[in-house]
Amino acid sequence: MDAREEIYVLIDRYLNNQLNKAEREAFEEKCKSDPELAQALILQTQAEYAVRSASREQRKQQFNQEFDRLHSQGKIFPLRQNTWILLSAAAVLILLLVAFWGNLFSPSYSPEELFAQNFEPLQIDTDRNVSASSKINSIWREAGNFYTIGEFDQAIMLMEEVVEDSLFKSQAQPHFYLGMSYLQTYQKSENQDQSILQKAVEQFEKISEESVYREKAEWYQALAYLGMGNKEAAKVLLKKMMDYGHHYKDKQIREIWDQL
Amino acid sequence: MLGQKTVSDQELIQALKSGGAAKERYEYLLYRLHMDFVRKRPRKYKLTDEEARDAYTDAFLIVIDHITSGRFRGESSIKTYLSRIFRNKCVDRARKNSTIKVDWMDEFPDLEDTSKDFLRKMIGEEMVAGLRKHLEAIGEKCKELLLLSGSGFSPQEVAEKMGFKTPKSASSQRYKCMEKLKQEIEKYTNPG
Repeated sequence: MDAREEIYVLIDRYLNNQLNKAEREAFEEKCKSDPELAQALILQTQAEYAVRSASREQRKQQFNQEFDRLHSQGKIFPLRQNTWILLSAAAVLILLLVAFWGNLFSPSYSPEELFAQNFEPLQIDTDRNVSASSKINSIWREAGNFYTIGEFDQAIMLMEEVVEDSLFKSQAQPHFYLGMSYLQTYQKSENQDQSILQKAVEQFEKISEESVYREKAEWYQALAYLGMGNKEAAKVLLKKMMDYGHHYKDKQIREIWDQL
Repeated sequence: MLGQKTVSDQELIQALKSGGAAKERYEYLLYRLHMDFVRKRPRKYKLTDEEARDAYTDAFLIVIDHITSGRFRGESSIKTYLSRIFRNKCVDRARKNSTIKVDWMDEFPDLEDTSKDFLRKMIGEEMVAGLRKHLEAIGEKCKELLLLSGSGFSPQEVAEKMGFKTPKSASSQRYKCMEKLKQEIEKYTNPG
């Protein structure tokens, strides 16, 4: 391998993040003091970019063609805008009829009643270990045991400690089950203190969009709003879930929406 | 089993990571499995069918990259993961005529953030504009080879597809083609 090829390989490894931290830093330092190496890096990055972006474009075209092929064979049916306008008009008409009919013959429920009808307790995951210190993990497991046997006050006390841990803070699972514990405490309590529901909402809001718990959290957050009698906040969230094509409790989401 | 909608995430991930013909087959399978997202797309973004299809394909290609590179850690199902990226791509599409610009660094997803900053300081956005056209000047064979490797095919797979005797020959040819491409770019950027 000649010197030129050696530089090519070095830059290739750099661009594919195959150098370790020390090698990477040394390489960058060298580029700052060696204009020839810096120029080689610029040129190779440009060439690599040209290849990668052209490859992506080519692959995109291939898959788009596959989409169009299946579409033309009638295997998928994306609806055209004008079809949607007609369908929307028909849907509005049907909704008006249903609403009129419903007012005459169906009982209407308050948001609080909708919460009570739709809230279902959820079992805690059996895989409850989250990466953290062994002490926090053991508190987390203990909290899970209390949750499982329905001792939610105890579970809340421990989970509140867990979510303060620096590693746990960023993880969805403890926030989700702490929120669930608040909801179940609320449901079991006689005086039904709505500030408990607000605490549940705060925990659900901490769960990121990318989390696997997100859909469930949005559903239970909407129920918490209903429990608080906050119809508008519940509607905003339900609408968002329907727009985003929620897979969790899809049918119930639409039923509550219709009721509201 | 291929062709059935019951294919598990584990089976998909295994096939996509294994490379070769299995990877290609399962890519198409995964693509077809969730094409219905296009029909069920959020209406509020007011995308045309074509824009939604593009957003879906973009999202799909990102998911394939993330699965094969190991960035997808299986914390959610592939379907949920794809659905979320698709939704983000729909938002990008809806804003495309206003402020959103594609970051050229997206083509280097493996780089550490510090290296991205370092390269950004060295290479301005204008220096990567219009570079793809130089691929047309290096000959069909070179172009094909570079596009295959750029699509994630290993030297072994490139050798099989292009009839090289060994993966090493494919790598060696790739080096030569990259040198040709660099010369073309250099001619354009430093005409003197």
